[in-house]
Amino acid sequence: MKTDISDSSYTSWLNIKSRRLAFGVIIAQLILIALVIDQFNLFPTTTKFIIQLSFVCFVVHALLPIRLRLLFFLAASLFSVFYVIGYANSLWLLVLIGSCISICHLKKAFYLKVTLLVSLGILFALFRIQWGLYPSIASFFPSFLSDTNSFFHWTDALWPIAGSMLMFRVMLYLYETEHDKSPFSLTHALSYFVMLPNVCFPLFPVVDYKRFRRNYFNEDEIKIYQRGAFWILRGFIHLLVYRFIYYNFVIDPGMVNNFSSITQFSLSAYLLYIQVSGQFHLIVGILLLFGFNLPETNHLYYFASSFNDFWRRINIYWKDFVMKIIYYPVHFRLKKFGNIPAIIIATIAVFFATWALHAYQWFWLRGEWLLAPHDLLFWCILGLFVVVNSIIEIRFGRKRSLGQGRKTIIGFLAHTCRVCATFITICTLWGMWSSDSLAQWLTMMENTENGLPIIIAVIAGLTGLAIILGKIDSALKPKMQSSRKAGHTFQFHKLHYATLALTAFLFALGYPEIYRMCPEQVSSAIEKTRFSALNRVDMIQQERGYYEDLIGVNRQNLALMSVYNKRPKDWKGETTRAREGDFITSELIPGFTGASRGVTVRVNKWGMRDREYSKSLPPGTVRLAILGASHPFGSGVENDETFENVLENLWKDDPPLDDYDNFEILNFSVGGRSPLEQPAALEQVVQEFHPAIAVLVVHPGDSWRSAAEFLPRYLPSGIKIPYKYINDVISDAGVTRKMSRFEIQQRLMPYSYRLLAGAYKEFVNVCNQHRMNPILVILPRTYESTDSETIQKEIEIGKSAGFTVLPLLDVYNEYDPSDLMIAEWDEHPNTLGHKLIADELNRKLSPIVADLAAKTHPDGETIQ
Amino acid sequence: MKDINSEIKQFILKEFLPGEDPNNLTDSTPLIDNGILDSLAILQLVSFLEKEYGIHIEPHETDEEFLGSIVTIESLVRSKLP
Repeated sequence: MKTDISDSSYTSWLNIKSRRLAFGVIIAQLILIALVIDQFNLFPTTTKFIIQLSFVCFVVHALLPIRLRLLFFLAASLFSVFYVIGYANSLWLLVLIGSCISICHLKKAFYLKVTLLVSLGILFALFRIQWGLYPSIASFFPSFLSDTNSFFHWTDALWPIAGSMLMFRVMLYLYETEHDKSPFSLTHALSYFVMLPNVCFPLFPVVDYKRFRRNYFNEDEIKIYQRGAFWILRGFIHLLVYRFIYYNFVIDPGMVNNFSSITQFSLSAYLLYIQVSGQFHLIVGILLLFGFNLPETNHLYYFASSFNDFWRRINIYWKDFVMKIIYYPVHFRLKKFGNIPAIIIATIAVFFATWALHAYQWFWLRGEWLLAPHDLLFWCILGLFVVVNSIIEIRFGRKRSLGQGRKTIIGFLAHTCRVCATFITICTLWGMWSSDSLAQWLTMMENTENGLPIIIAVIAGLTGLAIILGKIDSALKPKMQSSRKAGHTFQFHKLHYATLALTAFLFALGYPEIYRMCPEQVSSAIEKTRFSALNRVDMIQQERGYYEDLIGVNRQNLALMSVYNKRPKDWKGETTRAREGDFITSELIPGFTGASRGVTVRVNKWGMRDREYSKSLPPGTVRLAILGASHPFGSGVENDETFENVLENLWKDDPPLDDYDNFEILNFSVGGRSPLEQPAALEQVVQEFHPAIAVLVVHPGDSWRSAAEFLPRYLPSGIKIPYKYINDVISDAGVTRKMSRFEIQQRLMPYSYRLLAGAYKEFVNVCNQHRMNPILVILPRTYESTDSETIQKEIEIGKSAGFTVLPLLDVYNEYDPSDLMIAEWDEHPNTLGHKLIADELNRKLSPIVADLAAKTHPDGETIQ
Repeated sequence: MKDINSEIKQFILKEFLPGEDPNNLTDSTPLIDNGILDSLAILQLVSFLEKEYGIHIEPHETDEEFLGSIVTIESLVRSKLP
């Protein structure tokens, strides 16, 4: 007998064949999704495990009697917490959650409970900032708690997770305990706070406690499961789209110099939000698999047709949360003063709270405050737009329909104009919000000449057109709007098999043998999308951090945020000391031995990360000097693993020229040293060691990096710049020391090639003066696919300056970036990377060195 | 006794769904999930209910449990009537 799948009156669903089949198809979908997630490396290992664990637990959970299911969900959630953050942190987490739940259930006045919770929050916040900074607090605790080696001592990992679970949910929980009179359930309460995927997703949707309880298995469970699997797939697709945008469209603010680039900057910043909606879909999809029949988290927000519509779609859970906690209570208190004033004040309160709570969220997840004027401005402007929009809706009404309504072409055009105007406005605002500062955004806008007036004119034009078309449409339409049957029909079978087909398609597409059959551009995009790494802009931000501890992580930059959360605090170590008042800003500390980036760095008595050498040139020896920054320095690998040492060892066994068996390679590289400083280093330090060959190691893109990063470093410090070519560029660009860093960058960018050419010429001049042969090695970074136009130009600049140029552009070609980086958060090449560089240099440098060495006199005189 | 159900239905049709076929709006049609009652509409509806029936509605009674459909709105009103 055929059984209707939509019949929800069943009890023992596994006894019905069609339901067993449906359940099997859902399991197949989840298996395919798990495989696809693995293929595309979308998540770190732990997160991947927790997602896979959720899928396995789903099957067990679904087969259990309903009375045991919630308990099982709680057990699985607790297991995930213990697995990810360890037992000590987990036990503390349970203590924190238990304290909050207990306070919420005290038979005391509401304000007293709020006071207690706020006090507890302040105490947690002190620990969140840093336990070590508060020894006076630590001293109140027994030694077995304050001792960092103690069994009971928590680690820093506790606080972002505890913050994520408690920061908003405790407010909703308290709110519901005040109003909901249903009996207390510890299982429900604990499940709410530790819910399964949360431990791997600190940025979590604000799930409402009432819905969490009330919607539990409130519909046919097969339908809930199917919706869950579909949402997981949707989330996965969002994350793939995010990665595509992240790798291909994100542009550094320093590169914004015209209307097209500001459009790209704003658009990519706005589109990156798809990562948040992707994660939220995935999270809620997993919760659906466990019977929590929660609503959508985001709904086609890029297609919002007004600011109110945008606010209702972009983060539905957040909107519901602030409406419940702020909007309705404020409005109900003020409605005696009139509806419109109450709505205006309640809306302002909502947006002010949204701003403050975003900063509060940032504090719990990152341990620092994010209070920037442009952040506040963004929420103020959006709030203002929503207030105006609300007043318009109250006065003129908003079109609503139960069915789909009759669509006309004019109506469709009017709607499209509204959507476009809303999209452009939000996109522009989002661009401002994503900038490092308001000054930076204003400078970018200035560089686009009439960018802002054009954008405003386009928005105004579209709005006007939408109003006119809307009026025409209303005049032409018959009064009866909807003729179709109302109500939402859940098309189970379509969803069921469409999800299966789509996951199977993605699974197939994830195979290199299949996607390589696509056109080259498509296969290259898929190939890139399969790797998890930071994009070029974020990598540069890490470099900034490396150079100057200026890590511009903002809230949109979730990839960087996630990476930094895992980076040990003392990762960098201190291997250099400043050279006060000198154009060469820093040098290695002679005789230093210490930890840096997970390895031991040993510096010789001359300040080189190398073996000990004599200053004078031993007879019969050919010396090479390597000058560069962190890559040739060997950040993150041991002393004997740097490509310089590996190459020197190779040449000891197999010298490039038989007549010479003593080749010495001296490593003068210093982390953070720019090509602009290298001529000075060559003159002041390197030439004293009589190298025959000076090898300058640079990266593709050092031209614009010189303008965007290196030179702007010197200007505010007031250090005298000894090079005419730099002073000429500063003068021609109209740069002054008082300008903001961003403005200096913007003005210098057009002179980037000129700066690099000047540095190279100076370097070659010093080589000529001291009878050294200049070689330029262009070494790509582990993550970057090289921009051929820039590289070709930089190669030409090197050749014109008089270098022998060795581009090592294919050195990493056979490997994934993740195989070559010393850590997920640090792109410096690892031991394998250095070995590859050494091998490549051996192949390319040996013939050149042999040729030069052949011209050297056996008594050790340097080459002419 | 007033026909609360039909009064609520008439109010919703008049204020939020002008031109809509009344047959499409049933007692169980989800009003919040379908976007008929957004935050502004909820405030309008609350104002109507308070004035029409002389009742007082609390801020926490503005969600799906109480205003999710005509049936739940009717039960809310009835629970508050003397």
